[in-house]
Amino acid sequence: MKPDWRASLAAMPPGGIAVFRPAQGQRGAGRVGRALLEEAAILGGGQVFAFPGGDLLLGAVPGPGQRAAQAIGELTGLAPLAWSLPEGQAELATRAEAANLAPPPRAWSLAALEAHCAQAPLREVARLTLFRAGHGGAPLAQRLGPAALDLDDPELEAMAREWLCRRVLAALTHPVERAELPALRPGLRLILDFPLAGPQATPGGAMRAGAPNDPNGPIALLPLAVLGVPSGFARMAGSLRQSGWAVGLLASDITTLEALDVPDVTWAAPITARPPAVLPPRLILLGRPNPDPPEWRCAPGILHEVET
Amino acid sequence: MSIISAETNLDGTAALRDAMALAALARDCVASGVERRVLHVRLSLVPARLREPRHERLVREALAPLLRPTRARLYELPGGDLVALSPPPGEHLDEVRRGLSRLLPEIPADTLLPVLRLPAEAARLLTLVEAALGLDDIPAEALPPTPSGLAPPSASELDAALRGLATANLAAFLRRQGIWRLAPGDAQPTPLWTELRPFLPDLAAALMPGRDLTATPAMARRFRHGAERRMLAELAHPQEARKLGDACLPLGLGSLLETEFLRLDALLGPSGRARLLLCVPATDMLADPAGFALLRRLGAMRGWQLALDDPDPALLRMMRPEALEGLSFRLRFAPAMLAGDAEARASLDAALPEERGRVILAGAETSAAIAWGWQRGITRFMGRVVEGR
Repeated sequence: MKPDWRASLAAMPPGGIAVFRPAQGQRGAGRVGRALLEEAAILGGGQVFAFPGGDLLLGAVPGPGQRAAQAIGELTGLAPLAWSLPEGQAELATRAEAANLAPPPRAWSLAALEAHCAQAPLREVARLTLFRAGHGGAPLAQRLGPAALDLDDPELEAMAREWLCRRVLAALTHPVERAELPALRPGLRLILDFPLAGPQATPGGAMRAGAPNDPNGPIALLPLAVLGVPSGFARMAGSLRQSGWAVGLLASDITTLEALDVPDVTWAAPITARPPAVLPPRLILLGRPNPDPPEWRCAPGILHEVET
Repeated sequence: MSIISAETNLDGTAALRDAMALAALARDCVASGVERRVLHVRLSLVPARLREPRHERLVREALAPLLRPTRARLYELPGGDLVALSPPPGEHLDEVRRGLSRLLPEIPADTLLPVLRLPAEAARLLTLVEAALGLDDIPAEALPPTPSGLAPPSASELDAALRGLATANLAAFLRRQGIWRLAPGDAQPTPLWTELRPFLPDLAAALMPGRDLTATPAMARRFRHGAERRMLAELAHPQEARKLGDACLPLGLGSLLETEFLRLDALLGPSGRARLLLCVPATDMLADPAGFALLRRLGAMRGWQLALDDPDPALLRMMRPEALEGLSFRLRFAPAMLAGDAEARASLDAALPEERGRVILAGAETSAAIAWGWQRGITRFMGRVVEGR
């Protein structure tokens, strides 16, 4: 059994270091952070405690712990907290206590996740968000798609999105279930989430949205993974445009926009404090940072989320 | 079997090298305007009855004027044809032509022993070289994989298989294959890395009999990661890690950013990590761009090499060059790469990263794959042609 963290903290010699990395962001970043802390514990003599709310390193000498903290900051963009011991002991103890008592993230089995996606009430799993351009004025667009489950595992999140997308699309064409979806606002441009298989996945195949090749038609939002088979994406994009859709790509990270050059698509990505180095001509920013929404969201060609 | 060299050319790479040299020479003649006579000895047309040792000796005698050193430059193509080059007028080429025609009167000399002039007929020479390399062997469109007729596993069946994997002994399911360097001047391929991976079809059949995993890519990926994490857990022991050596591990992004790999990474130390090549599916990069960016930064810090596995060339064309910096690429050779018009070929070539030293060509099952790679400056190969000698 692992020694109690309080006993270990009390037994720390003066001149030691404590490094705490709160559990936040994706699981991979957490795993890398913990591995670097464990390496520092081996190099400098010490211990790592894995709490539900974050990982704590108690190190006998400061060097390895400081280097690990710096490396974690560079790799994940979130620098851990570090204290010299015994000076930081009180503050550290408060953080560690809270992290120890934090609820552990739910471990989903695939069967449980699939059941959740199939059975949760539609009004909980479908979400309508509104978008506008520039500084003021009325909303211009609305997105109907699956609500994010905020899982720490991107693979599971993608699987849940697939299941939920199909469910929302099926409900949209269903006379009874349709009433359970959030009501679409008349007159706003529609942004609709599609699964990896595109409109083929909807009951009855392609949904006609309007006149062919209208760049201002409703936007079909496809996950970025569709680019894995570029010929398949080209075919899908062509048939969507024929049916009156504009083609959108949903990226889970805005830096992707700096790496890829895909003609004639509208990008959608979570909003960040700073714009990407390359701004695409058409961009939809997801999420509403509070209290400091970045100014760049109002630049031309950008739709950003507003309160519903 | 080679008719001209005493040393038996088992692997065909010497013939491949000759063919590449001949193609280069034809282009040089065009560029410089230097004139050459070319005799193409189409020994591949010689009927089987004349291939007995007795007749072979006669053929060899007829070829004697070519075999004398310094008379002509002689190239042997894959398939056994010979090509002799000489400055004009090239009497000894005519001598050979006469000798062989007498030996094989049933085949018209213009068919068996065509004479070409460089630089005027360089295009013809290049065409025949490409044909010998198999580069003109445009394959029929590959058939789509036939559905197995088996149902995909349910989510709970996959959950059970993943639990089974966590304690499974993978020894019987691991596959090893070499990655080799073979440049046009090399007599033998040099081993670079040994690829180690769990063989998923067998593993899936053992854990989920009667189910077809390939029908649902997301589930297949989940299963792949479970198998890889199990393999990594077995490797992450000091004595196993020490034995790893120059290894190529094809791993999903979801397996790399996990405890088992990070433990192996720590055990390897800087010298072990420098000998490691990790190949991540290009589709994983798209599915989790933030995770892939983290992995690249981690690689730069820890010292292992990172490659994109099996990227669609069209995807590479969509990526900005600066986004590919520092990455290697493992492309899969497909016979279809030989097809297409000049425009399609140029478009494929444009998708290849400029630094060809960072490209590995997998699926090299025929010498045409090596030739295709060499034409593009690729010297790292994986497949039957370089394997098993």
